[in-house]
Amino acid sequence: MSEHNSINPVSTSARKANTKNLQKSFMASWWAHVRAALGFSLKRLWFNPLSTWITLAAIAIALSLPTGLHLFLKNLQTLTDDHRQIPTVSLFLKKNITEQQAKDRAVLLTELNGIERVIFVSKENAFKKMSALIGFEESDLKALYGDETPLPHVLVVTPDLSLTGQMDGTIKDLTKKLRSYPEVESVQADIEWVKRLGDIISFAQRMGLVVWVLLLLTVLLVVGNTIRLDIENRKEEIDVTRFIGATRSYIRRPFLFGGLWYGLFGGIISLVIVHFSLLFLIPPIRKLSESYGSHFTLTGLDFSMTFYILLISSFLGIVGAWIAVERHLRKNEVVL
Amino acid sequence: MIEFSNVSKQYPTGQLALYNVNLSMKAGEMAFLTGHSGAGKSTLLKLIAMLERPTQGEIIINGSAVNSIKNKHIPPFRRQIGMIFQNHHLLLDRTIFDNVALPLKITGLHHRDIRRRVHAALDKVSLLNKQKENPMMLSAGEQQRVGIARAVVNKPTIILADEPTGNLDPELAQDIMYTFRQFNELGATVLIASHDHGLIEHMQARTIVLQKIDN
Ligand SMILES: Nc1ncnc2c1ncn2[C@@H]1O[C@H](COP(=O)(O)OP(=O)(O)O)[C@@H](O)[C@H]1O
Ligand SMILES: [Mg+2]
Repeated sequence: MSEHNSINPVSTSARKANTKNLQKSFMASWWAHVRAALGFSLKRLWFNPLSTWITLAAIAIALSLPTGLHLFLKNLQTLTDDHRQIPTVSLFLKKNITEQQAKDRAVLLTELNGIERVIFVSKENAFKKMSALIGFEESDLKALYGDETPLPHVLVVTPDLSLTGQMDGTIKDLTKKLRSYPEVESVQADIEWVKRLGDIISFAQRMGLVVWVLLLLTVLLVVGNTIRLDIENRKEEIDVTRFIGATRSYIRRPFLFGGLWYGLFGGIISLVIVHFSLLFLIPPIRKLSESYGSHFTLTGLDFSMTFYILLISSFLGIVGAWIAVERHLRKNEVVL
Repeated sequence: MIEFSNVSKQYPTGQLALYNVNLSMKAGEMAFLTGHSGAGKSTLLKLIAMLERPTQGEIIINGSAVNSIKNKHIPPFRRQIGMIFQNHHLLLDRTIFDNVALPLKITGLHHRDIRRRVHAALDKVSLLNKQKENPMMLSAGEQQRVGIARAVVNKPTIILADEPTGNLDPELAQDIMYTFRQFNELGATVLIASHDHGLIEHMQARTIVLQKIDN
């Protein structure tokens, strides 16, 4: 035993170095394989350009639908996130309340929890706004009504939604409370349309989910079927390679890369489609938003979304190819 | 080593191709397999290469019973066998070089070694000058020789050939047989199916005769 001890360290380290070398050469040859398969599958894609283009178009169209929907929803959401659009509560004060009294109440209200800010709108200002709104000269309107404007002073209250986040209940409670003040004649909460928009968005989000699932499934099927046809065409090659002793993973690899290319290129084309559709939609949307006096602008796909779409489409391409190859290898013996 | 005990093969069509075959070949042996057309020569070779399964009996190749080989062990099993087919089964979408290189590529050999060994194999069948050509541009005999180069390039321990000289003129056929003998002398077990009696006699090797069975 002790005699061997002096030799052991040397031989162990030698063996270690040997294993390391083996691993290194294994990695190198593995990488060479992968590179060869990547290049080969890429070339292979263009052996039959028509069918490749049809497959890519089908994938791209399937992907551009949910992507477009996603963009649409995102833009709809920025509409409601817009601070000018936060629901406000208007307090119409009683006719006999003076400007000073109204301003005092405004200050008191600002102190309250759950209220972000209170803007005082005098009856004169309100009158000006109204005349502008209906397109009359202020003087003409004055002549119509006499000196006394028909409008009361108004306090416009912006609730602090960030406190509770739950806009529905909060606004109801607030409205009730505000109505109880002696100066207040009536309260009007401008909330309905925001709520409705929220409902529409959550409905559309669900619908979007369904569309995503269905169309991603479509991508899977399209790639799977294309690879299946590819396998049929290369049956002889697969059989010969299998017969010569290739492992499953060796046979699978070029097809997986084929699936990867289909998914990736299909994804890229879908992004191009979405982008151009967006460009196409911008002018009418700008016109529309200008007529509403809003500066709403369309948001395009951001970097992370682009990345995710390419990731998902590549992944689906690989999975579709995997299923097709495994099915073939399991079902078919080598026939030569 | 190749060993058949009471092996029968009936195809799904009902055709009985082999009935109760007993056969034993030592490692490093060379033998010819003869018999009439339809006697089951091709079937016997396919059973050894696991291209078909026996319906009865046991086959032992290099110490392992083919019936009990697990799926994941089939690829390494097949790498120890080089087979030359009646129909050459070359891949027409790549060059001669790439066809012969295939068995080496799947084992992950380095480019440099692949080139060296492919050149050596093509040199043995005198086709080194055609390595960049497509199989379709070769004559039937040349295609057959490319098949031989592919079968031997990864130095299998067993070489099976199904009528390898069928398409060759006598002189070339002789050359090919000598090439097989060389592989045999290097240690490979060689089994050649052929019905060229003159050539078999000339080679003076063991001959296994299959009788045709009527059923
Ligand atoms: N794949 C197959 N399916 C059904 N019958 C087959 C098949 N291959 C061969 N046979 C039959 O089995 C018998 C033996 O054929 P084969 O092994 O090719 O003989 P040989 O090579 O000696 O001419 C023949 O009768 C042939 O018709
Ligand atoms: Mg035959």
